[in-house]
Amino acid sequence: MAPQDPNAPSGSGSGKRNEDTVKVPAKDPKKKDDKKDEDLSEEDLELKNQLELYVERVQDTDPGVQKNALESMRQEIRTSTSSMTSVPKPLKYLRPHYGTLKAYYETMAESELKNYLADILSVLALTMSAEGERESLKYRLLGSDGDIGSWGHEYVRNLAGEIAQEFAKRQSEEAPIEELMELVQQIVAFHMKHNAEPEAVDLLMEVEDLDLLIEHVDKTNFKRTCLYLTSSARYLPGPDDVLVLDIAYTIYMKFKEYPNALQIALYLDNMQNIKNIFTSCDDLLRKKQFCYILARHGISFELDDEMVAEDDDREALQDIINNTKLSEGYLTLARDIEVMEAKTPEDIYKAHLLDGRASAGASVDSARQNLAATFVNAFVNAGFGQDKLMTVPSDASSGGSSGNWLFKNKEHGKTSAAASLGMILLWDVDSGLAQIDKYFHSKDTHVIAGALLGVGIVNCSIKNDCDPALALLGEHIDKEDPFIRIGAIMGLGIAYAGAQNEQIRSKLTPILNDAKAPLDVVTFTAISLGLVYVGSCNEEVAQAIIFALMDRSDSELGEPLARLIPLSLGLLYLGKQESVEATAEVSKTFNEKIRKHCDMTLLSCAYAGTGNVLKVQNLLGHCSQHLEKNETHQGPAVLGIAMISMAEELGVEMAIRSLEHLLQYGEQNIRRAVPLALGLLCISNPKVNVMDTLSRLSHDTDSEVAMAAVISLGLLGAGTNNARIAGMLRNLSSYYYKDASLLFCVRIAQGLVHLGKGLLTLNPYHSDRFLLSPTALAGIITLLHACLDMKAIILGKYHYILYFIVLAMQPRMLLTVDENLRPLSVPVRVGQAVDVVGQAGRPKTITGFQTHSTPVLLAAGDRAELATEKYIPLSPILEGFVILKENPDYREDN
Amino acid sequence: MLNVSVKWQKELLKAVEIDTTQPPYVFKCQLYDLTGVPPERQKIMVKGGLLKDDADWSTLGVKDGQKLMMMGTADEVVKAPEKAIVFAEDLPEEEQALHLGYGAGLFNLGNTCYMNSTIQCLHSVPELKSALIKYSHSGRSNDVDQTSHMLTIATRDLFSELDKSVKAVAPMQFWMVLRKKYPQFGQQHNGTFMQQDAEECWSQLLYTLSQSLRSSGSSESPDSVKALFGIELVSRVHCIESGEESSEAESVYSLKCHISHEVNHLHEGLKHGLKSELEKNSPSLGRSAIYVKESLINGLPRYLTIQFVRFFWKRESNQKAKILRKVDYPLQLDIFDLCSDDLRKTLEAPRQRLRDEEGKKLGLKPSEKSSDSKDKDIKMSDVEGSSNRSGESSNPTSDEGAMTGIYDLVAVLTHKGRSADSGHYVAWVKQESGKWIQYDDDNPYPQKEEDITKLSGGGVGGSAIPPSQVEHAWRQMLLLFFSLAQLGHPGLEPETSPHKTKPLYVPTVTGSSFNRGNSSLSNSGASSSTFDNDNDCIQKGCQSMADYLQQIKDISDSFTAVGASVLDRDLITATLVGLLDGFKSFIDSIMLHLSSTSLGELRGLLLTKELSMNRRKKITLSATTELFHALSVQASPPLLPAPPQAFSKLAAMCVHYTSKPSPPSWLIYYGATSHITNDISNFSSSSPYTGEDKMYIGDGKGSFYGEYVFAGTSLRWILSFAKLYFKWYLFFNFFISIC
Repeated sequence: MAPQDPNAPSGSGSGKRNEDTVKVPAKDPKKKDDKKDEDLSEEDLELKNQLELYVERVQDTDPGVQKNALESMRQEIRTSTSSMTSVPKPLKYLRPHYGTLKAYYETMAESELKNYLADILSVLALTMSAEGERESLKYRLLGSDGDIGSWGHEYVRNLAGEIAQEFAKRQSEEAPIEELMELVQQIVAFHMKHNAEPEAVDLLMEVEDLDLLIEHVDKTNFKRTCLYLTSSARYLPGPDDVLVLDIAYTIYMKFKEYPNALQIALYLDNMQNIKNIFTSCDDLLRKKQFCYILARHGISFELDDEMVAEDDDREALQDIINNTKLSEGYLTLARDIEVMEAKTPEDIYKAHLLDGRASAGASVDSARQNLAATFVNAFVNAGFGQDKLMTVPSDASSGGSSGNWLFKNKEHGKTSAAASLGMILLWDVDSGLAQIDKYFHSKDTHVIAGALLGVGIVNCSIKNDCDPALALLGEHIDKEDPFIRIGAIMGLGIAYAGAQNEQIRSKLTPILNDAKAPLDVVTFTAISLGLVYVGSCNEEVAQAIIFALMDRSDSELGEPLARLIPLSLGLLYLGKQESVEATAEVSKTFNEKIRKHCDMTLLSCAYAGTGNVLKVQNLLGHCSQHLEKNETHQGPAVLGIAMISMAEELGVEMAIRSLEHLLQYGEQNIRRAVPLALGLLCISNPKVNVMDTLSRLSHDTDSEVAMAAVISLGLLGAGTNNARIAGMLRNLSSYYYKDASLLFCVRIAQGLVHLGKGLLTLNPYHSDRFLLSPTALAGIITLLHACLDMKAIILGKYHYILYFIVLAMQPRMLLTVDENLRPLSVPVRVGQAVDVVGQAGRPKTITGFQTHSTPVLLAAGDRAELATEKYIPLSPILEGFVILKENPDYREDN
Repeated sequence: MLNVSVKWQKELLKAVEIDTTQPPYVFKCQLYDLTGVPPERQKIMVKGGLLKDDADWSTLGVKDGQKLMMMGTADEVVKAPEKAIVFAEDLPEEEQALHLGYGAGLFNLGNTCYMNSTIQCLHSVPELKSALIKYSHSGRSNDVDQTSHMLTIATRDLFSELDKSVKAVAPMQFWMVLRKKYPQFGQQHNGTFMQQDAEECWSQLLYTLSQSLRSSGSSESPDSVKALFGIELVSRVHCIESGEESSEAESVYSLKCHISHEVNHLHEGLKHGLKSELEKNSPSLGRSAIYVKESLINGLPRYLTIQFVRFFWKRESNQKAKILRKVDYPLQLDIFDLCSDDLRKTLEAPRQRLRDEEGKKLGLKPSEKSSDSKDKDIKMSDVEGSSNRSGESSNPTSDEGAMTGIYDLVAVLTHKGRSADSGHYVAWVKQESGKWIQYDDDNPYPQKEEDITKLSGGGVGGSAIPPSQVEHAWRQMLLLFFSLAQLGHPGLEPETSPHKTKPLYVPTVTGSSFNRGNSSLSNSGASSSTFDNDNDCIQKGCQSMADYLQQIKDISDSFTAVGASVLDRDLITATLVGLLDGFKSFIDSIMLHLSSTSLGELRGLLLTKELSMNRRKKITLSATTELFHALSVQASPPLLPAPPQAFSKLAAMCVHYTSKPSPPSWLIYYGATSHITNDISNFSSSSPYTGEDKMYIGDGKGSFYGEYVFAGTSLRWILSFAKLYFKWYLFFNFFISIC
C-alpha cells in the first residue's frame, strides 16, 4: 500500500468509514488507527500530529500552555467546520482523544480554561457523543457561552436537536429549563439571521415557546417564517395549530401584511381578528381588497363605524362584501372570453358526434329528458342572464303556449324549470327578481314553488339591504301546499347560507317541531337551518333539529329523505371539531335506524377540512365492517373520509388510495359512496387517475354505482369544459341511451362539466387552496348525501336538490380592477403553482406559465403573478377580484 | 312626509314621497304611475318584509331617504298551454314503441339467439307480417298439420307483440311450439338447450309458413311465402363425357354463396354456387359419370335470400368448421348476370328506365319529382307491397317486367364465433326509417349503415359496436337480405313516379354444407313425430280436463303397447299444445322449466288450473279444498300440504320437498323493495339458490295458478315471472325454506 497514493480516498472515504463507528464511541481500536495513518497524506499527517500535540499540551500543567493549545485547537476546528459534507479533519483526528479530553476535563479546576475545553468538547461531541447522551448540549451549557454561530451551522443544528430532547426530558421531570431557553434564544436568533427560519420555528415548537419568534422576525424573513408556520399548522394536532396560526397572524399584523393576516383570521374563523385588521388598517383601498376576500369566502360580515368611519365608504365596502358586484365582474370575464352567446343543451350533448344515434324520438317530449335539459341549460348558462329556453321572450303570436319551456316539464319538473331561471340569472338580483316575478302569479303550485326557489338561488351569496329574499319567501313558508313550502324554505336556505339570520331561525324552527308537518318539509327546513347556521355550533338550532329527529316515527326515519336531517345537524358543526361532542353524545340516544348514520355524519362534518388522520382512520374502521343489512351509515362514513382528508394535497392522494381499496373490498353500499367521495376530493379538478377510476365505475354492473360515478365525473370536471370528461360522458350517453335513469345522470354530469360555460368552479377551497368556504362545502355535501340514495331523491321528485350546488359556484377568474374598481387589463403569468414552503431566498412560485392579460381563468392548481412592475396588487394572492395600485417607483424602460 | 328612493329592476326612482297619513296602497299607486306596474302586482320590500296594503307607516319604521326595493313586472302572467303536453313516459307502451322507431328485442331463453335473430330478420318483412295477420286462428285447413298451424299462430302473435312492446319480449310460446314442430331444436346438452344453426331455423320456419299460408284460404295468393322468397332456377345439366344434356327447373328459397379461396366478393361466390358437379348414372354411357349442373335464375322473388356457406364438415376432425374468409358484399346487389336469358329480356326495359331516372336525378335540373325520390318511394313501397303482391304473383310474367334485378340490403344475420356449435347470432335489420338496428337478443342497438358492410367476416367488429361485444373477434355473416330495387310498371305508374323502389328481400345465406338431417333425430324424435300426427286431432276443446288428460294417456299407452314408448317430455308438450288459449300463461310458465316437470305433476297442475279457472266463474271456495283433495288422490309426486290459513292472502308459497329428482335452483331474492320486480337492477346481488323448495303461485284472491320450480341460473327467469305479474296480477311470495 503506497501511503502517498494521491488517489487514496483519504478525506471522504475514510471519513465515511469512521462515521459508521461514530455512534459506537470511543474505545477505539488503536490498531486500526495506526493502520489508517499510513493512508494519510503528508499534510494530513502533519495536522494530525499537530492536534495530538495540542491534546497533550492541554493536559499540561502550565495554564499558559494549556490556553495556547486550546486556542489553537479551537482555531483548527473553526476554520474547518464551514462545510459539513464530511466530518472535518480536525474533528476526525481528535476523535481518538475525545475520551482523554473528557477525562481530563473532569479533573480540571474551575477556570476559564475549563470553559474553553468544554466548548471544544461540545463540538467534539457532535460526532462522538452516544445517541441520547446529549453531551454536546451538556458541555455547551458548561462552556463559555460564546457566540453560538462560530462553530458552524451543523453544530447549531445538532444542538437544537439535543435541546428538543433535553426539553422533553426536563419537562417530564419538571426540572428548570431557564438555561435551555437562553440557549434557544441564541439558536433562534442565529437561524433567523441565516435563512433557516423553518429550523427556528421547529425548535420553538419543540420547546413550546413560539412567542419568541416575534422578537426575531424582521422584514427580510417574516414571509418565509409565516409561510412555514401556516403550512405546518395543517399537520399539527390541536390546539397547537391554532397557536401557530395565531403567531403567524401576529407577525403579519406586525408587518402590516393585512391580507395575509385576514386569511389566517378567516381560517381560524376569528371575527375579532378580522375587526382588528379593519381597524388597524387605515388605507381605504386596502380595505376594499379585504372586502373582496371576505366576499369570496362567503361569510356575512357587518362593518361598523369603528372599522370604517365614513358612511359612504362603509356603504361602498359593505357592497363589496355583499357581493353586489359579483355578477358584473363575472359578465366582464364572460365578455372578455367571448362566451356570452347562450348555449342550448344540444350544444352540450353534441349528439352529432355519436355514431348513428341521431336522436330518434324527437316527435314526443320525454319529461325525464326535458328535465335533464332544464338542468343542463341552467348549469351551462348559470349567471349569464340569458339562455335559449327560459328567458326567450315568449312569442306574442303563439301566446306563450307551446313555446314555453316551463310547460314542457311535468309536475315537480316545473319546479326545477322555474327555479332554473334563478340559476340563469344567478347573482343578478335586480333583473333576476323582475324576471321571476311573473311566475309568482301562476296558478300551478309547482311553478310557484319553483319561482320561490329561484328567488333563493338568485340571491345566493348576495346580500341586499332590503332582504328581498326574506321578504318574498318569508310569507310562503307557512302555506298549506307542501311544494310551495319546500320551495320557500329551500330558497331561504340557499339565499341566507352562512348568514346566521335570527329572523329566519325564528320562522323556521316552529316547522321543525310541528308534528303534523310532512317529512319532506321538515327535512328541507332542517337543511336550510343547517345552511343558514353552517359552522356556527348554534345550540338552539341544534336542539330544534334534535327534537325534530326524535319526534319522527320509525317508518319516517326509514325514508331516504330523512337521512338528510342528521346532515343538517352536522352542518351546524362543519369544521368545528370538538365542539360537536356534546351533540354527538345526544345522538347516541336516537332511534336505532338513524343513530349510526347520525354519528358518522356528525363526525365527518365536524372534522371536514381538517385533515385529521385519526378521524379518517376511525371512519375507515367503520367501512371495514360487513354489515347485516339496512344500515346506511357507511355511505356518510365514506364521504366523511373525503371531507376530512380533502384539506391538503397529500391527504387527498392518500384518501384516493384508501378509497380504491374500499372499492375492492367494500360492501355494495360502500361502493356506491366511493365515486361520490372521489368526486368530492377532486371537485373541479380533473385528475386523470381519478377520471379513469370513475370512468371504469361508470360501467359498473350495479347501476347505483354507475350513477354515482357518472355524477362524480361531472363534479370532477365541473366548470372545466374538460374535453376528455366531455368525451367520456358523450360515449356514456350513447351507452346508456336506453336507461332513462342513467341517461339523466349523464346529462346532469354533462351540464356540470360545462358549468357556466367553463367559467365556474365548485372547489370550496380558494386563496391558494388555503381557505375553505364553509357554505360552499355545505352545498356540495348536501348534494352528495342526497346522491347516496340516487333513486329515491335525485331520480325521484326531489331533483331540485341539485340546486344546492349553487352554493359552491364561484367564478374561477382573476379580475384585476383599478383604484376605482373598474376592470383593468394587465399582463399576468399563469402557471402551475410551486410549493415554496421552507425554501430559502425568493424561489419561483409558478412553473410552466403563460402570459395572458386579465381577466383570466385559473384552473385547479394554477397560480398567477403580475407580469408587470407597473402595478402593485393589494392582495398577495391573485384570485378573484384584485385591486391594483400604480407602482410609484415604476419607470417605463425604453 | 317621507322621501324615499325605490329600486325597481335596474332603475332607481329617487325622491318618491310617502304620505304617511295615507295607507301604503296610495304609495303603490304612486309607483304605478312611475313604473306601470299595477299595485296588486307590486311587491315592496321593507327590511325583510313585504309592504302590506293596509299597513301602518308608523310601525314600519321607514326613515327619510331610505332605499326601498320593489319587485314586479307588468309582463303577462305565464299561462299553461291550452293543449297539455304529452310526455313519452305517459304514453301506453304501444305508442312508445312507435316513437322509438324500431321493434323490441327478444329475450334469450338459453342458447336461442339463433331463433331470436331469425325472427328479427323475418319480422322486418312487412309483406310476411300482413300475410300472417290475415291468417285466421280457426282457418286451419286439413292439409296443414296441427303443429304447423300452432307455429304459424305463434309467429303471428310474436310479430304483433314485437310491434307493440317497447321492452324485450320473451318468445316463450313460439319457442315451445317450434320445438314441438321441430324436435331437433329441443336437443339438450348438459341440461341446457344446444346452440342451433340459424339457417336451419330459418329454412324450417319459412317452409312451415309457406305450408300454412298457402292453405290459409286467401285465394289470390296461393303461396305468398313463395312469392316473397322463392327463387326459380333453371338448370342445365350436361355430361362432358357423353355430351348428354338436360334441363330442369326448381324453386329454392335461398341462393348459396360458396366460399373458396378465390372468392372475395359476394358476386363471385354466387356464381360459384350456381355451378355444381354431380355424379350420376349416365344412361348413354351405362355407368356413372360426372355431370355439370349450371343454374340460372329464371324468376326473381321480392326478397332474395343469400346464404354464405361458411360452415363445412371437416372430415378429419369430424366436426363442423367455419370458414373465416372475408367476403365483401354491397348494400345494393345487381344479379342481372345470374339471370337466364328469358328473365334478362324482361328485366332490360325496367333497368333502362331506372338508369334514365338516375341519370335524370344526377342531371342539372332537379325536378320536383326527383325530390320525392327515395325516401318516399321506400315508404310507399311498404304500402304498395302488400297490395301489389297479389297481382304480381298471380301474373308473374307481367310483373317480373317491373323487376330490375337490383336488390337493396335490408337485413343481415351474423354469427360470431369460431365454430358452428358456439358463438352468438345477431340480427341487423334496416328499419323503415332507413336506420339500422342491431338486435342482440333483448338489446337493440342503433348502428350506422357504413358499419353493415364491415360485417363481411374475418375482422373485428366496427367501432360503433358497444364495448360489450368487441371481444368477439370473429364476426361471420350468415344471412343477408336484399330488398329489390324494382321498377314501377310503366303502364301502372305513368309520368308521376317513373321509377319506384320496392323492397324485396334478397338473400343470402350461408351455408351450411353440413346437414344435421334426420340422422340427428333421435329415436324419441322419430317416435314423437308419429305421436304428433296422432295427437293432431286431440284438442282439449270443451271437454273436461280429466277427460282430456285421459285421452292423452290412452294414446300414449297405445304407443307403449306397440313398443314405441313416448317420452314424458313429448307427452307434456303435446298436452300443452292441445290446450286452449286460456291456458297461455300456464303454458308459458310450464315451459320455463320443462325438463323438471314430470307428467304427473303436470296433470296435477292442470287439474288445479282448471279448478281455479272455474272458481273464477264464481265457484265457491270449497272447490279449492276439492282441488287439494283431487291432488292428493293423484298418487304420484306432488303431495301438496293442506292449504295454509292465509291462502287467500298468500298467493305464492314455497314448499319444501325432501326428495326431488333434479334439484332446481332458485335465485335468492335480495332487497327489491316490493316483492315483485320487473327490473333486474333491483337485485342488489344474486346467486342461484340450490335448495329444493318449490313455489306456488296464485293471484292473491285465492285462485291458485300452479306450482313452479325454477332452476334458472339466469335472472331472466325472474323477469319472466315479473312479466306474468304485470299481465295477470299474480302475486309472488318467496320463502327461502319452510320445513
